[in-house]
Formats: sequence, C-alpha cells, structure tokens
Amino acid sequence: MPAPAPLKTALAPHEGRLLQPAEVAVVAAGNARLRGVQCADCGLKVFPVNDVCPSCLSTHLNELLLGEVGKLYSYTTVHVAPPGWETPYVIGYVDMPEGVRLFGKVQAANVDDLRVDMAVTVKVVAADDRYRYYFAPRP
Amino acid sequence: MKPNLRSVSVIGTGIVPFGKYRELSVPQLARPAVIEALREANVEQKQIEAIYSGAAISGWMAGQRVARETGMSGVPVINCENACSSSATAFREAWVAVATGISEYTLVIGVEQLTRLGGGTLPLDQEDIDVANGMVMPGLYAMRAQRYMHDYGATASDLAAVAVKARRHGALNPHAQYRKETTEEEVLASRRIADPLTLLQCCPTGDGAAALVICPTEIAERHNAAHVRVLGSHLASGRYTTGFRDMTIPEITVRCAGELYAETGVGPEDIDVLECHDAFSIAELLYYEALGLCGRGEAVKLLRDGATSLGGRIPVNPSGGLLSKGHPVGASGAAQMVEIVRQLQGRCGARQVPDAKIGLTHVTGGGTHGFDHGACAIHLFGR
Repeated sequence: MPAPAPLKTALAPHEGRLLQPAEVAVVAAGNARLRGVQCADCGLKVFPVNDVCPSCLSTHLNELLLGEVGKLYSYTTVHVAPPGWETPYVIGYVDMPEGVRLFGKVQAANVDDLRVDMAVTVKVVAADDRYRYYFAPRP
Repeated sequence: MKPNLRSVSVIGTGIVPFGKYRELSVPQLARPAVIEALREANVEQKQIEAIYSGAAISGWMAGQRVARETGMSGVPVINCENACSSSATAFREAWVAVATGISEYTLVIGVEQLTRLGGGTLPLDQEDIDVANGMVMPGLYAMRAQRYMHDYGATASDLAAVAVKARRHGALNPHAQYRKETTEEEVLASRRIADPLTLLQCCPTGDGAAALVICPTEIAERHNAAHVRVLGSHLASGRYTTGFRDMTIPEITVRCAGELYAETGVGPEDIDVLECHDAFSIAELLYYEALGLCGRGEAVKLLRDGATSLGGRIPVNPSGGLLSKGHPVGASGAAQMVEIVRQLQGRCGARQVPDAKIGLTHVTGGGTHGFDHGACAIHLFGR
C-alpha cells in the first residue's frame, strides 16, 4: 500500500458530534464525563442520554456515568471521507466497562501504536460552551 | 413456505451493463432492462398489474418515472427504499403480492444512478451519531476486517484474494463494470481507502438497472418454459444493540439465512451457486460463515481452496459480485436475482455453473447507529 499522509492529531472545529448539555457531566473542574442512561424498568444501558427507553419505552431512566477508560474493540485509518473531513483520520469502537460501546475518532500520533483490545482514554473536551469526545491511547 | 401461499416463478429477466451513465436519466437507465424482462416473459405491458421498484438515492418515485417511459403508467407502483436491499425488498413485496393472490403478472425494477452523487463514499445521514463522529461505509467494513484479522489470523493478502476472485469472475460477465483481471499485488498496491481496505477491495461507484417479471407458477409455463421458481423469500431488519457486538458475526445475515433455511427446508449444503453482498472484500468472507458455507474462522480456507470460485464446490458471485460487476445500491438485489435465475437456466456462458439447480441471493446493507446493518433480504430460487 502507498505510504499514508501524516495523521491529524486534533479535532477540527466541525469534526465530532457536538454533545448536548445533558450528554455530559462535569464531575470536577476540567473533568467532564459522558452520560448515558440505564432504564430502571428493563435495565437497558444507552449512550447518549435518551428521554425514553428505546426498548421498553419506560421514562424511568437512571444516569449512567461513563468512566474515562475503555477498550479499543476495533479501529481503522480512513483515507476517503465526505467533504469537510480532513483525511487521514482514525476511527474506532471503544467498549466501556459500564456496558456500552462508543464510536468516535481516535487521536494517535502514530497508528502503529494502536492495537485491538488496548486500553484507551475517553477525552471529553470543551468546544466553546459545548463538548465533543474522542479517544486517545493511554500514556 | 407457508402452505396457503401460491408458488411464484420468475418468467422474465433484464439487466443493463453496469457502468457510468451520467448522460442518462434514471428511466432511460432502467428502460432496456424492463423491456428485456417483458419480452423474455412474453408479457405485454397492459398485463402487468403492479410495479415494485427499488432505488435508494435516485429520487422520488423512481418506479413511476420508469413506468411513464415504458407504457405502464396507471398501475399501482410501490417504491421501496431499504438501502442496498432496496430492490430485493421490492422483489419480496412483489412475491408477497403474487403468492397471496393479490397480483398475477408483476414487475420488479431495481435502478440506481450513483454517478449523480459525483463519486466518493455514500452520503450517510448526518443526524446519525456515528456519522457525525466520522463514520463512512468503508470504515465500518474496515473495522470488521481489522477485528477479523485479529481474531482469526487472516492477512491483507487473504482479503485481496477476494477481490482477485471477483475480478476473475467479472471478466467473464459482459454486464460487469470491471472486466479486467487483477492480482493480489495490484489490489494491495491500489489506493488506501480505509485500512486495511484498498480501492480494489471496495465496490465501485456506478449506475445500473435490472428487472424481473414474476407470476404464479401455475401460469408460468405458458410464458416461459424455463421459468424459475422462488423457493423462499426472507427479509430481516437489524437488531438494535447498545452494548457489545461481535463485528465478525453479521447477526442480521445469520438470522435472516437461518429463518429462510428453516422455512424452506433448503440448507447451505443444497445450494449450487450464490450471489452475496460483497460490497467490500472482508464482507464476502464474513458472509461465507454467516450463510453457513463453512464454520467460524474458516472463510479464508474456503476461498483459498477454490471452493467459492467458478469450478469449485459452491461458486460465490459468478457475476463478479458487487466488487466487479458493480454496486449501484438500489439495483443490486434485482441484478443478483437476474444472475441467479440465468445461472439456473444455463444461460451464463463462460461463467456458467454446470447443472445449477438451486441458487441463493443475499443483500444486506444500510449503515446506521446501533445495527450490524439496517436491512437484509435473502432469496432462494430453484428449477
């Protein structure tokens, strides 16, 4: 395969889903976490926060505060993307110990540092008054 | 099949060579396939009682627009959008109508003009959380490939070998978009799309159309002595999961195939030829296992042994598949059916599977958050 261009290591302003305020919990200054819900009736865990359980339609939903570390289930470097996305960039699925799978960009200086099943940190970063998230290998 | 349903047969098939037809309108693209299917069926336009049309991105009312240009306006037209399974869904709904006695002569159309998008990856819905976070269809399949390689030791060369087989078959198909053979080296050296997938491991952007005429088997004989029976039709939607999922097991295909096999009593060991949804190289390997052609982790061996090549035990994608024949998404299901019907009729020339009696078509697709895929349609045909 031809050698790839260098990876981008920061989220561009338009990249990554802008999280709704309810989807983020600021647990301490500079420490924001992702929020999901767990249905009090059927137990389903959902990210992001939802106002109705998509399975049993219950509105009795408890907060599911996600931790900072998950496991990289799989990943790829994307070289061809729709307009607005600067390539190449890395995406991946991350399995959280709380029982949900997240999807998003993975920021790595070198894709060769990534491994299936490695531990990664969930970074929830402020973007103006809102938040986005991405994943980074554990230092 | 449920005992109260009528047996249904395909009496006419039509297809256009897949390629890039920016200069044509959608009805102009579909018209030759429709006319060919009507003529082969020995049916006049006025006998067609309903039209089921599958298209995903080719604009509103594709079915009516084609009917307008082919002398069949006025009949009920049902337009089906189900991503890559659009025209297979249209075929299924037409089959339901004929099998339940609502309709006799029924036309199925699959048409898509991807060149109107201008190339690149398919435009996914921006409200989808995964899309907003950078998902593209090749990326989704690439992550399946990455995990499959990790779990089962498959290599980049193994993936490339799928594309080599597809091109080898496509070279024998006058309707294929790509008709040139390739090598593993060439596949691996082609442009990176989403690692480990390179350009020649991704279905091309292209346009195409296919059509079929179906009717009750009891009256099929008088139209086409070589009619082919629909042995079974099954449609599934993805099962929403918020938690962990094994991406190497395409659950929607496993479930859809299992239910169809149970309904029909036909098993994978009975199938002589099949067309599966090889939108990307890894997909074909995963579907060998999901459709029951081999066990878990055995797909590479099945491919490398030549079992799924022409001349092998169970040839897969003799048409060249989506990788070589092309994948105008809404047209693909109908195009697969045209190939399998013609295989069962012994009409496929250099790519003919000898004495094929039972064939299967499998399309899935639709990338959306929380699903393996959005839709999957599997059909069994026999003569």
